[in-house]
Amino acid sequence: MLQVENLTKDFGSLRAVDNLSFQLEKGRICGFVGPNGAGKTTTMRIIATLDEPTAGAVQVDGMSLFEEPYKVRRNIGFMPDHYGAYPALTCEDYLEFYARAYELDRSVRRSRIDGIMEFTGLGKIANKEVETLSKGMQQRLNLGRALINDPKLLIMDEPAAGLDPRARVEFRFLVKSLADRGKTVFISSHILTELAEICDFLLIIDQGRNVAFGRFEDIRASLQEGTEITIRLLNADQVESLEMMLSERADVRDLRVDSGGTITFGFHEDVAQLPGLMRDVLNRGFSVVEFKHGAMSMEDIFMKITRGEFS
Amino acid sequence: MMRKPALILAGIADNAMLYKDITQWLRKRTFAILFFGLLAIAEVTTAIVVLVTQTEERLGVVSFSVLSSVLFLYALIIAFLEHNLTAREFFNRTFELYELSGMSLERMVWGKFLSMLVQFSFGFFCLVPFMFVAFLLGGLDFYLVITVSILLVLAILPLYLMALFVALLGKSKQVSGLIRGVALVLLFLILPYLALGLSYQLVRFGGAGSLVDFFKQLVLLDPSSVKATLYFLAFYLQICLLLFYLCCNAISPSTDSRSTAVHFLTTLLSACYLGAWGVFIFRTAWVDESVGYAVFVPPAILFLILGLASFYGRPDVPVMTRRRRDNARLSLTKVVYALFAPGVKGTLRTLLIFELMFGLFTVLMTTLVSAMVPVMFHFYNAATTALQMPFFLALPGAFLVLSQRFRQNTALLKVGILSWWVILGLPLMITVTVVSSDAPYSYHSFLGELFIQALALHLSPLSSVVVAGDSPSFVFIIAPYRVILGVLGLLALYFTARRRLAYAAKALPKPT
Repeated sequence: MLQVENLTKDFGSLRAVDNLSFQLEKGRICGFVGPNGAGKTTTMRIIATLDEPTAGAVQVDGMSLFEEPYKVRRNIGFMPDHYGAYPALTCEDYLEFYARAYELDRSVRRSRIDGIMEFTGLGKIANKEVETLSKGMQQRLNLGRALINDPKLLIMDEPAAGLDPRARVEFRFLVKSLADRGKTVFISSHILTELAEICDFLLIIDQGRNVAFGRFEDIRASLQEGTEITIRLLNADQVESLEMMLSERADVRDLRVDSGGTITFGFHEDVAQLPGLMRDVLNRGFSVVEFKHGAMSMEDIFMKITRGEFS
Repeated sequence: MMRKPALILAGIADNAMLYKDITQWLRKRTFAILFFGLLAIAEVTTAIVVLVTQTEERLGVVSFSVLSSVLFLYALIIAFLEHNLTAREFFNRTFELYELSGMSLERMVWGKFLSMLVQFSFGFFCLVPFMFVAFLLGGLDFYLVITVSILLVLAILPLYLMALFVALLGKSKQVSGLIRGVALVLLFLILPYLALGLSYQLVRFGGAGSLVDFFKQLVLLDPSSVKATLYFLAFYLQICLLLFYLCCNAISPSTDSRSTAVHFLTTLLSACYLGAWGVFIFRTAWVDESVGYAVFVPPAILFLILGLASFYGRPDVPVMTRRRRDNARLSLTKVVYALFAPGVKGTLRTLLIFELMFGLFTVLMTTLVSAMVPVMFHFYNAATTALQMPFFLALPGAFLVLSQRFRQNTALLKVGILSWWVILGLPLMITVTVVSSDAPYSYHSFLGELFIQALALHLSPLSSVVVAGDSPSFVFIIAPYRVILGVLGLLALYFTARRRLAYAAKALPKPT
């Protein structure tokens, strides 16, 4: 559905996007993350035909962005990080305006608007003025606008920014149901837990370069060295002794102690060896209140890949 | 065939931008208060004027004057409100979303323009009954009513396009706010005078005493009045069309520019302007010192601005424009694209066509109009200044691009060149005027005068215009030199264009 090859964008001497390549299949949701200024918005604007690249190739549903830009526009829906200005327009007027802008036939227009109102749950506030809507409702309307032409590819730039937890959950549900309907979604966000829950794929960029792309689980597996273990003790005085004991073991790496006295480390042995480690700790008299092993979180992956430059 | 007009009307009614702007206008509900408030003010003003001046017998005339002023004020307020709405949409990048919908730039501008006309029509048709009453009150000439109404409608079309263009001038809030403020003041102050000036010229062409007389003659299909009207309409339509495409180009200059249309229309307009002046001078033998400047300087300045905006803009043609050029069906459109394309090459071609056109006109004028020989040096001065224009683009450009800061920021480069012209030009203009004056001071030497004139001739178009205004012999001497400078300027621009394009091509392979 979306193919990007060696995409490069220069602003004067600054290279905002550097040889970026990836491809997405139909019906997938791909999270797009990177530190501030990494080139996410520039990449999205290029795919949305709003900016021209310096070099590279982009294809949407087999159509080249540079050969058939007008056709590409008709097949994508773009939700930018800005909303626009629509004084004195109601939600219905707003959707009617965009339906006309896309030159939808009169017969199609009404049914499309009704469908979007139902899908986004905006029916009850159809006659409310757009500029008086809450942020969550504005984002729903913005999504409705992006869907009015029934696009195959949906590009969303920070759609969850500024939403309250409830609105975020609702928005997540909407995005998932879009993928179920066969839409390909390319979504950027700084709320990484959000992406972890909805995305099949993850693209991480740093300084305009692709630093990781693939299924979320595959990226995690490739980055994770051993199992991550967390131990919390009842008695804080024992933390130093436990740290010393663990640091002497060959199967323990990346040992770190946080300010609350919790010890975290990577266990580089088979998981079957974990009970032995636990037994060893308990036999030495450490008062363990928590012993946890788990996978890397989205934040951990991001921090590791982008060398902690996350902001 | 019968269905065609209906389809066109349906297409207009379906215009998304028209729908949006009219909906916003109707929902705000301020139009009725605004309009009827103005009407009430008009009636009160009429009553006061009649009472104070005791002109009861001319009540109709007073009433009509106040009503037409109210209508003009209403038209201005519509322009201002729409300008504010458009500027707000532009700052908030709402136009990007309009573009994404696939709506063409022409449809956007057309929709906004139509919505302003619909708003104006509301006021116009509401006022017609009151004007009719004013006519019944007596003392009014029917032709005066019609003439004023037509002039008002003719004035608001470019006014509305200008209001849109000014709203789309800049993306930076502060800079754009300043530009818009200045432009709007100029717009509202200058436009009425411009309309008056145009009308006056129209009357002169028609040979009638007043505009009303002229209109009467036009109704009677008097040949000279018809001819004058055609002249006027040719310019009027071209100016409106140029403003329309300037608006389109301002919305998305980097991805979907309309530079071709702007280049082409500017060249066409200048050609018509020169041609009309030629006919006018030839017919009336009306020649004085200012004619040379009036004929040659305005189009030259127009091209200087065009060159500055386009030549020092992005070097290559935006992808959308390339597609439109490739998909052009009419061979005429293809020729226009080939000659007046956007980017540095297209601008260079436009400048060259302009220079050739200008040169041809100068030759024709000097050959055909022998009566002008006594004042020919003014023509030479103005014409050769105009022919020198590419040099004024190339000289400061060549210096400024040495700095990386200017090279990387084309907006800064344009501001730099403009500042160069003003900062160097204005003091030199004053100095040249003082030095070459007949004042009884002896602080200037022959060499000093020559040096100042040489500086003024080379550094800025402003100072170059005034050089040798008082010295016919000097003008004839420097005329060929100025043409050589112009050719050098064109060559310098050509090599700069080549270097810029070569750099763009070398940096990375083109996107596919």
